[in-house]
Amino acid sequence: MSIIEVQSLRKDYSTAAALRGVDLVIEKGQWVSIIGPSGSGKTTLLNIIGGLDHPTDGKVFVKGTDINALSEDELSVFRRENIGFVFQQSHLIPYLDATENVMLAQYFHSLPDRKEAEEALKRVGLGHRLTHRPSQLSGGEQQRVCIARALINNPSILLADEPTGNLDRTNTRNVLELLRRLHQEEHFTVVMVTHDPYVTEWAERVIKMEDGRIITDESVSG
Amino acid sequence: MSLFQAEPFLIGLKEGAKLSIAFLVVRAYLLGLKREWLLWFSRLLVVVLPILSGLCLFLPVTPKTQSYISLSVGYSFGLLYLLSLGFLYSEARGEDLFGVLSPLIVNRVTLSAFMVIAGALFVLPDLSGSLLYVKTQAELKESLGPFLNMLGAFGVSAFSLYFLLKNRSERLVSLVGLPQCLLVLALIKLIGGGTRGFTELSLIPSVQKGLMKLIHDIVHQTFVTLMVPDHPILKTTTWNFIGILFGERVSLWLSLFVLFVPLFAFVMSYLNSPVEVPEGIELPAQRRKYKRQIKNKRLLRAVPVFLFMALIVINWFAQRNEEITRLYNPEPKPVVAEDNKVVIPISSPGEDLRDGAVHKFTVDVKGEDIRFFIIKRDDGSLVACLDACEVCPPEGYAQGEGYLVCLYCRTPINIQSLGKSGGCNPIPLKALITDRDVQIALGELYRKWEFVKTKHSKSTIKR
Amino acid sequence: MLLRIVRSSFVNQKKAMAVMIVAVAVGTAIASSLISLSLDITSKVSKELRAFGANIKVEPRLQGIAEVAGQRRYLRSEDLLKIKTIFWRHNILGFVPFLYTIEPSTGHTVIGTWYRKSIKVPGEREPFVTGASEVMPWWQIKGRWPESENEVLLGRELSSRLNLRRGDRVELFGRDFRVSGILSTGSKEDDAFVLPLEVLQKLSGLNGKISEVYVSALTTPMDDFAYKDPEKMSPREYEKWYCTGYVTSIAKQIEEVMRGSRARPIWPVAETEGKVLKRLGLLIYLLSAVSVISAALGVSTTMIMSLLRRTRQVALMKAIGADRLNTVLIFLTEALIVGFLGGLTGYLLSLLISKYIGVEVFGTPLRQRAILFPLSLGASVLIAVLGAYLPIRKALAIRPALILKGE
Ligand SMILES: Nc1ncnc2c1ncn2[C@@H]1O[C@H](COP(=O)(O)OP(=O)(O)O)[C@@H](O)[C@H]1O
Ligand SMILES: [Mg+2]
Repeated sequence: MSIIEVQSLRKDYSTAAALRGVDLVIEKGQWVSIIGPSGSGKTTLLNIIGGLDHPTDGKVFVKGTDINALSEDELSVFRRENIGFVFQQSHLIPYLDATENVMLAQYFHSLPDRKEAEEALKRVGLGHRLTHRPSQLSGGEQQRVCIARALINNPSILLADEPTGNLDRTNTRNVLELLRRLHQEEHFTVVMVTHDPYVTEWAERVIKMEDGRIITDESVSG
Repeated sequence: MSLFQAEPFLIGLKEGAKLSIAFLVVRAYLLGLKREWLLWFSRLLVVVLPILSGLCLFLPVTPKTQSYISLSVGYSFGLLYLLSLGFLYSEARGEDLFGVLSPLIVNRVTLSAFMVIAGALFVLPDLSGSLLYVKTQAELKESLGPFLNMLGAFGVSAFSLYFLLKNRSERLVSLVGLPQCLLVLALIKLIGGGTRGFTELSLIPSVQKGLMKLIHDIVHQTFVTLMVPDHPILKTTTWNFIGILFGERVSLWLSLFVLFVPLFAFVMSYLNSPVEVPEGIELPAQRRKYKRQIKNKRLLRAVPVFLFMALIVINWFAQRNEEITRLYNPEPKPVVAEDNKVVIPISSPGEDLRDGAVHKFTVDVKGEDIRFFIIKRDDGSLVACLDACEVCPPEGYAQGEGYLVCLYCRTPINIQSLGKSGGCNPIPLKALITDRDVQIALGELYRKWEFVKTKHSKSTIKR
Repeated sequence: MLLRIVRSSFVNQKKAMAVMIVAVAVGTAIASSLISLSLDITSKVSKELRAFGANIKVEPRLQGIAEVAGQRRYLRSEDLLKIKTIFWRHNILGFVPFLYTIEPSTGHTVIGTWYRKSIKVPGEREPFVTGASEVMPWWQIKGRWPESENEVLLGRELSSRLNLRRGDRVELFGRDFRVSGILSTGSKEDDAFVLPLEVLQKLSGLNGKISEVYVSALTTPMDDFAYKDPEKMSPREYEKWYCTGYVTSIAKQIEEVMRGSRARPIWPVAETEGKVLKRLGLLIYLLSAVSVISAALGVSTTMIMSLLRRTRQVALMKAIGADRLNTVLIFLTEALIVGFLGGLTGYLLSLLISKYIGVEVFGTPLRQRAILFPLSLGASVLIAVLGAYLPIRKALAIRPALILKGE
């Protein structure tokens, strides 16, 4: 069963085209890596799938709804109920501590619940860092807070844009192992953008992009 | 004589608006209930009750009937308010007000009886009070003009508002439960419940007075039962000190408090009471979402209550402001007589008779609350007068800047002329003014007050 | 959570918040004290205007036609006292009789009146003090009111025309007078000689006669009922009208006691009063609108600056699910808190300001204190919300995809 369906997607900027006709179907529960050189349109594609950006042309169906037809507020509701974001730079609110950063996502979704947020942080191995500010956490820890935040509302899709871009190998490995564990427990769909071939080793399917187009799309076993 | 008369016309507009808004709110509630026959019943009531209130026209117009009617306006407001509090409370607790008795009570007969009672409480006192007021005007003018004006305006505002707002009111359905419905009725009464034309537009001052009287009576009774009959310990000064308790300010905040706090408490406990999530919902995010939905619904239901509170406060400030900017009319301070005379110290804690403001007192003589006041004239001498004149009904006087104003005929009275009788001047009292106090004989007070009571309506001006 | 977000934005930007609070406070203080001043002014000025001056003029009936026919008509001095016997006698604050004559040889106007006269009212112990000094307190005399039979007061314009000064001699009605003072009133007395009424009556042979009387009475404000024609009232209405101290009913009663008189209310005073107040009020509302708007602009720019610093955070919140209401709530709450704090400060400030204005302008502090509080809060919330409008629009326009991109 497909959870994401992208049809002949185009995104033109005034200077150049970022996406030049992308077609893509992603199955529910799949872990997909999108790899490609810088400027190939990976981030643009991910943002459009996540409803943060609008395509110039083409259609995106997520869980059967055409998300371009949604109003701004409907998109917000769609995002907070279905999608978790993890960015390359661990975007956290600097003046809130780890727990509060997670609770923020709960607040926009429905109600903040401190206990549940703390549980989520413990599951990503941050039980000892609950009240630390982002500036008091290492890069890997910050990214784990972001993962806890992205998954707190039980989304069906996790969109990650170079989540390990700023991490060294050990931290990259730790974060990806964590994600794999959570993926196996909760069966959400993962779409992860990277330009690091090492990261694709965790994926079930690797899509290569170049110059706004998909050039290869292969499933990896195991 | 012009056909259009502003005052009865406005009274008609007001009553019409009250009735149609109230009906729309009740209708919204009943639409939500989905009981067709109740809706029909309410339509019947909204026609029958106003006609019933017309019966009051057969009553004689005396100060007594008028005061009974305005009392009943106040009481009916209180009852509606208490009822809505009761239902609000039970809704906040998530319980049925009647508990196990509920199936016995909630049936056609009791529901319709409840509607008749609530409707009668809402419609009858206000409408008959207004009608009586217009009747006095009609008698003054010796024509039916005021009635026609009132009826016309009543019809116009009732029907036009009804048809204007009918469709909008259907959107109210999710906002209005039974407690909200009753609360809106009480609110309408509070803000538009005055029955004496321009001089009394809202009930707020009378709620305030009623509360004050209640407190006064309670304190008075307690002290009377505690003390032996002739108050050996409670000297006048003690009473005066207690009198501060009944000052305008205290009563203002107190009545605000009484109206405001229970509502606030109930709303808060309603909003904060825990939400039971049904079994089937497992995912934590889903459970949170369910709770949010319930809370949103509660918040929506709380909107009318918040509105009520906001309107109370706004009205209060408006009222208070009016009193302070226009006229100073302190609540009379109760005093007690000793040796057949009242003795009022010139200077006591919290009060100085020579401060230039009017100082009002009330004393109970043979069951009559007699009002009088003491004020400093421009030349520095003190003068005591009855709070009433020979001409007007004894509504009393308030103080403007440099003059007193008769509250009945709005005529300003030169303060220097106090102590002289005649015109609309307050009736002067013979008083013994010493360095320390002002003494007035009870007989003097009683005789002159009786004179006012019997004389005021029969003045003798010839053309 | 909302409060947590807002609190930290206060803690993190103390300076910006302080600037906004001060802007709100100043705007609020100016606006609310101006408005309360205008409310107060209405009662104060109207009282001051009314305290001055007569509001009823009494003149002989049919004066105009009679004058054409060559015979002047007069009121009688002995009726004056009766003004203090009418039903509304306590509301008569004062009255001034005038007698107008022409000096036969020079053609100058000579006016007789009372300046400060103490009269005995039957049935009252204290004497009643009345005259121009009471009813027309704006009269100014350089020198003094005539004290002996051969002293005269000279109007300002006439004195400069005739080039006469205090202490000079002048001949009137064939008798010698000494100028005891120069009078300026702003009306016809400026161009005339003024004598005590009784002196002029004797000189001109018009004993016991007066031309008109100005009466100052404390009256009930006119309402709809007051404008009705008494002729058409029902007896009970007439009784109510007669027993209410409208200027019309008092005039009517004066007419009844002064033989051959016609008493009219003097309206223009009230009307010009209204016009002056209206213009003043307009100016004041304009000024307060200006102060509200400029304070709102101050809040707006500061808030936009603070928003710019937080663009990333807003974008992030939107990416993790904040909808428009959430975004608006954050900034509106911030603005309302600023408004509330600024309003409180502004209230205290406006207490001081209105006290100062009251003392400077009216000599007494403004009484109207109670309204300042709701007024201040209203103004400050208005300022804050107006000021937040633009920043909120800007915050809503933030596109997370653009902001959160890469490095
Ligand atoms: N806001 C923008 N305005 C103009 N061009 C843009 C904008 N965002 C991205 N692009 C261009 O679109 C192309 C794709 O960018 P992006 O999707 O960020 O690539 P990637 O994430 O693969 O590095 C790049 O050439 C980039 O310069
Ligand atoms: Mg990128």
